[in-house]
Amino acid sequence: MTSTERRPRRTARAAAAADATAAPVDEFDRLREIFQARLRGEHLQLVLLSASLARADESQSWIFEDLKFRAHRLRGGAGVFEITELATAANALEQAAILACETHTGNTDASVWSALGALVALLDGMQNAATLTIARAG
Amino acid sequence: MHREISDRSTANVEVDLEDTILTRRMEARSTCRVLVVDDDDIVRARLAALLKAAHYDVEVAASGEQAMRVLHQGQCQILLTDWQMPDMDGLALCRHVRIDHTESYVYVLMFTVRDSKQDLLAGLAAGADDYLVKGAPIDEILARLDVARRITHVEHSLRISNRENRRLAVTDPLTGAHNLRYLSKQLPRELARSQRYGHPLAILSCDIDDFKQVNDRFGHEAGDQLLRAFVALSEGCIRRDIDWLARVGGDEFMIVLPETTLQGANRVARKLRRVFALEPVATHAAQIRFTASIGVTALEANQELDASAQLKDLLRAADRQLYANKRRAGRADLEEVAATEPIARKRGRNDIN
Repeated sequence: MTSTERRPRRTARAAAAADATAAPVDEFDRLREIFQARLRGEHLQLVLLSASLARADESQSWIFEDLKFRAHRLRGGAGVFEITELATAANALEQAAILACETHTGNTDASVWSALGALVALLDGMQNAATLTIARAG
Repeated sequence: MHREISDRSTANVEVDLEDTILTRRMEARSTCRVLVVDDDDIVRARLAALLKAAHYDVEVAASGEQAMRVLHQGQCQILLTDWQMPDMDGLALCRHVRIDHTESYVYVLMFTVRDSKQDLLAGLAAGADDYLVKGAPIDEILARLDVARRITHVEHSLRISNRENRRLAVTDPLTGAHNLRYLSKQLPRELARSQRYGHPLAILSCDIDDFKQVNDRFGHEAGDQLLRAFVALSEGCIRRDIDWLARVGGDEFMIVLPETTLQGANRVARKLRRVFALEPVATHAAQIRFTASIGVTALEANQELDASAQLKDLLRAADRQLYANKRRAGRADLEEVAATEPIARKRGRNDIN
């Protein structure tokens, strides 16, 4: 190669792509695992809450409040991890729980039961799957 | 063949340009700090990891209060905040940012699961610059942050430019000293402060002797060099960040000495004349030795101006003193000057009570 020829070089684009994918992969994996662990915990809590709701006679408002809180957190986490299906199911439960709180509905509220059942089934399915399909950055 | 070479070089130029743009964007990102605020630790950590991978500097906060503490350090240009948080929520945080941060602009991107139009409008009304619903794809989040970075960069450039314009407006371009505009604005403030707290204030009125001859004999460039030397030498004789100097005419300067009595001001004047006479100033035309005439006036502690006396009287007194010295001694030693009796009266102890 003579001095007048252009030297092959690593372009800025290549460097940027390498930086964005190589270094933080471990961190993304670690966070994904933490989120999976949280989903397992939430699954268990939602099952327990559905049992409590089924047994509740008068004071079920704390259950709706708890459902609302958990669904909201699940929706936010799922959104950031780009799990659209989970975010949608959590949103449905959050909206149903908000309505149930506002209207002081009883433990037979169909929309709450329907949304709760769908979310628990989804989490159940995800837990049974070998891996969660959580989108990676980059 | 020629055409082929030409096409190749055009392609190379385009690649180089693209690389340059990308490199600059990466550099700009690394100097742009984003504060991620979310009460959910996993969401916070995930967002921080994504932004770091995209070459942003990232700070995190778990609540509105914590975010305000980080923002007060003044290091973050972009705020990416959740809405629903305990205590201070995202809306309250937005409002606080808009009230508290007037020194430099903080771009607020609200990032929430609340997706109704009403929520969006409420977020923007609270002071958010942009609004994004959680679940948006990563590339959209990064694209919005790129917009935020561009806007904060423009705002920062404008702020620097405005500051420089303000500085230039009160600076004499030739010598770098303050100008008449600064004197007219700042001296009344110094005077008011002196009057309010009963502290002394002295003013030196200076004029380079025979400056016209310097211009005539050695040219204007040498005259300009002499003016710059005058300022540099004078600044070496006064207290930095307390005393100040302004060029008020061709070779006329005012030196303002807060917290300085007439006696102290006379000492400064003598020091100045000694320094001016000590070493000749090297100009492109010749080594020029110069002298200056200095008039001194002062308001002593607890001395107040008569009701009829104005700032201009104080300046006039300094000028009178200057010309008296010029007439009396020519280039001789500065005499001790009388107190500013004509424009001021001594406030007696009883007057204070």
